[in-house]
Amino acid sequence: MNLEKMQNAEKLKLCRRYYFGGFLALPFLWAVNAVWFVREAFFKPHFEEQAEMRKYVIRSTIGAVVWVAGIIAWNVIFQLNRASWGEVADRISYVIPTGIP
Amino acid sequence: MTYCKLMLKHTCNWKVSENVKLYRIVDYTIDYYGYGALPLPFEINCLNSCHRFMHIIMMSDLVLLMVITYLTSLSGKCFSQSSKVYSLVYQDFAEDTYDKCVRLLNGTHEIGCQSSTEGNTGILVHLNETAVLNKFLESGTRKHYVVLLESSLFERNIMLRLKAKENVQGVIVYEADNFYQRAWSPDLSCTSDRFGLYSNGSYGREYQECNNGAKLWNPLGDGITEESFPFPVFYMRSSSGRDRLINCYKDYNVPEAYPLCSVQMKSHMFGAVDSVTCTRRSNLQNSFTSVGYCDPLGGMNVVTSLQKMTSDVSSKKDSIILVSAALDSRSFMSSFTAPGADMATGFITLLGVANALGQLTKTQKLELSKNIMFILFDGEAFDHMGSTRMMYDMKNGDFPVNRDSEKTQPPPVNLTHVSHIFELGQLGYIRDGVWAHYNPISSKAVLNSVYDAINVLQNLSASVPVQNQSTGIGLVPSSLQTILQHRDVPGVVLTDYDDQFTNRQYFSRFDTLKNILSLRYNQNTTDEQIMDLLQPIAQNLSNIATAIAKMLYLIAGGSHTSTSPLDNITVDQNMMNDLLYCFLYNPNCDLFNEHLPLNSKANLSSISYRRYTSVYTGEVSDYAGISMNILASFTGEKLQNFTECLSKSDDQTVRYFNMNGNRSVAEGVCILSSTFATKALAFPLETKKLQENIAMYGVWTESRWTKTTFRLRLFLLQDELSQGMVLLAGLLVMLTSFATVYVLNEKAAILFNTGIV
Repeated sequence: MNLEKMQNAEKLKLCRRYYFGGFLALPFLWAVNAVWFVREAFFKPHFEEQAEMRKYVIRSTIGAVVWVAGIIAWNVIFQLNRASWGEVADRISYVIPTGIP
Repeated sequence: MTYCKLMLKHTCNWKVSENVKLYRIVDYTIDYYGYGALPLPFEINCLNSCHRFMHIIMMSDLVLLMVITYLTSLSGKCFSQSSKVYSLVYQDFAEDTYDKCVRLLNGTHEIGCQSSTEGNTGILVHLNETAVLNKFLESGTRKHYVVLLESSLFERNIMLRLKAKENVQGVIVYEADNFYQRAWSPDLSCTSDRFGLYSNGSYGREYQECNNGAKLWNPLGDGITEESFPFPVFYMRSSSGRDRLINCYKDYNVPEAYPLCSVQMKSHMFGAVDSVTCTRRSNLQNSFTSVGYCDPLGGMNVVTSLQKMTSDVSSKKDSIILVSAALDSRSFMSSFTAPGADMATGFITLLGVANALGQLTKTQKLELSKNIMFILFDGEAFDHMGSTRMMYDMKNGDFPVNRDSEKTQPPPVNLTHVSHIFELGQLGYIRDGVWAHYNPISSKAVLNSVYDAINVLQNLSASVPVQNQSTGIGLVPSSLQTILQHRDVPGVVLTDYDDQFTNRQYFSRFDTLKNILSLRYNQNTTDEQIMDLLQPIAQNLSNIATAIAKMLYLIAGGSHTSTSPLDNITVDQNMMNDLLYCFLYNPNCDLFNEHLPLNSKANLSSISYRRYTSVYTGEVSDYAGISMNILASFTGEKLQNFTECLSKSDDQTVRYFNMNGNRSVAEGVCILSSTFATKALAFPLETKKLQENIAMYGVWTESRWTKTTFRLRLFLLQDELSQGMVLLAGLLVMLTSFATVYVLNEKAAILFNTGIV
């Protein structure tokens, strides 16, 4: 899809769709939304839909960052506690390493 | 360099015709640090039209080649004419030249050794005496060491000190040429006590933990078998391998200056923590790679009955005499060396007894009011797996065969049917006779039966005196300890020791026939000489076996009249000689060959069996299999005329064994016998109810490993500056070749303006 060829209203529609789509536990949509529309929302000359688009881009960015932080935090917690959680950790593991607790 | 080749392919269009010319530039490889060698065959086929340009390209490649040569030769080691860089960098030791310690797990612990995934690396240090060891422990400050340890220093305390010194990455044990067999045992000094008779509650408090530590059964045992090491431990068997290691150390590490002789040891194990954890992980099906982590240890017990176990009679109370012995052994490196020659004399004697009693006629056997059952336990060295499982099976009515109402089965046997138990323990070092052991706190009635039985044996055994165990000690470590936990039955264990093992190498790798024979043979000894050397032991064993056989006959209700066969019961000394020779010296012997299944493809090895239980397969192991056939043949009925010698699947009371015999008859020999193989597997591992049973039963598993797990190799370690230089040179070569190819590719139109492109 080429953003250059789209109408502003179309862009807004797309941006909104990505924003709401992200609520379905799809942080990648938010991340893509933030990256894709950041130029439109902040660095392009003013157009009518820009204010709303900014709102979506900012919120998508925050959402994506929160998700990434959450995933990193979980990963750290999980890796640190995997051995001591015993069976629970084994059950939620996809690959259990060999030769270590 | 493969990209150069591709480019040439493209440029010259690869039209093959009559006048094809083949240029071959030497194969070469670049290898930084020896990792990831790239074989680079460089063949150029080209049309004549392309020929001119080929020269240019080849010239550039030759220049490049020279640059590479120059750069890599800076490090001095990394260039070769073919892909032999590996062999310039590493010297591998063949896997069969060394024994390895692996990971074993039980209900609560992991024991044994393992390396990291990629292997442990360290600078070789040779420790051959205590002073050198102490100095190393104080002053060895480099980051990683691999210790080459002289065998006399290989003991628990020293190994634990090496373990505590965290820069030790591995240990290779070797024997010096003049090494003496030292008195040492890797097993616990209070061996096999964990789930023993006196391990529960207040029963026999004065005998708990080896008579409260007052009398240790195995005083020379330091218990290294039960330790866990975070690094690999190998035992270098080959003397040339040992010399290579020692020389490498001498040549490069004395005095310590770069390049240093270093060693990489790999023995990564999959299992960890304990049997509960690794079994759970093996059973988890959500695993992406679905690897196994560990497998249960176990084997098969072999049970045979002197009288045929017909289905129409039910077992009566006190109608069976059990005669048992343990088949297996273990050691620090069980998977590769499992000695226990002294232990083996127990089941060898049992086979002798079975042979003597088996020679009774059919009517004489049926006249006995009590049946005699011989049982060979497997897995006894691991918390008495075999006898523990037998008790479990007996309780469930699954002994000697699993209940199945649709089949004709022998009557189930349990402990109430058993009147006496005789167990044959270590008998290899009979000097002043044998000792009869029993549980001193059995009930009075049981003790009286025990004393009676021992009396009978004492009267029958003139040449090998039988003595009662000393007072103040409990029952020796034995399968009987397991059995007596379920019912107080008269039970006697016969051994060559009284209150501590006569065997001074119990379950160490010196616990071999050689040691029993006081080292009086070497590789030049002939078979005849071995047979001669075996005579005194065979004589002792046949004497005691004869006495035991006669005692069993009498206790089973055999008559003691002038016409009774009692006086004819003898255990042939030659038979004992053969059994000792086959089990402990060379399995490729007549006796074993005669008892192999007919037309069996397997050739018998000439190296005595490793009697390590190993991973449970549901099949009898090699040593148990041959013991089963021998036992069946000794006690069973030899069919003279048989059309087919096949066991019937719906009749489990008897089995037909078709064996080679002495090969004079093509059909071999057919033996009909009530012989059974029962599981010697910890039942919690089968029922998957581990957690609730680990306090009561030994649940042993062995970690998985793969074909490529073990590796031992030597290499020279350069100082850090050289290492950096080599890396830098490598990077430079890589960048130069990128640049060259880029330029050639860009200018291809000019350089190769042939009209073909």
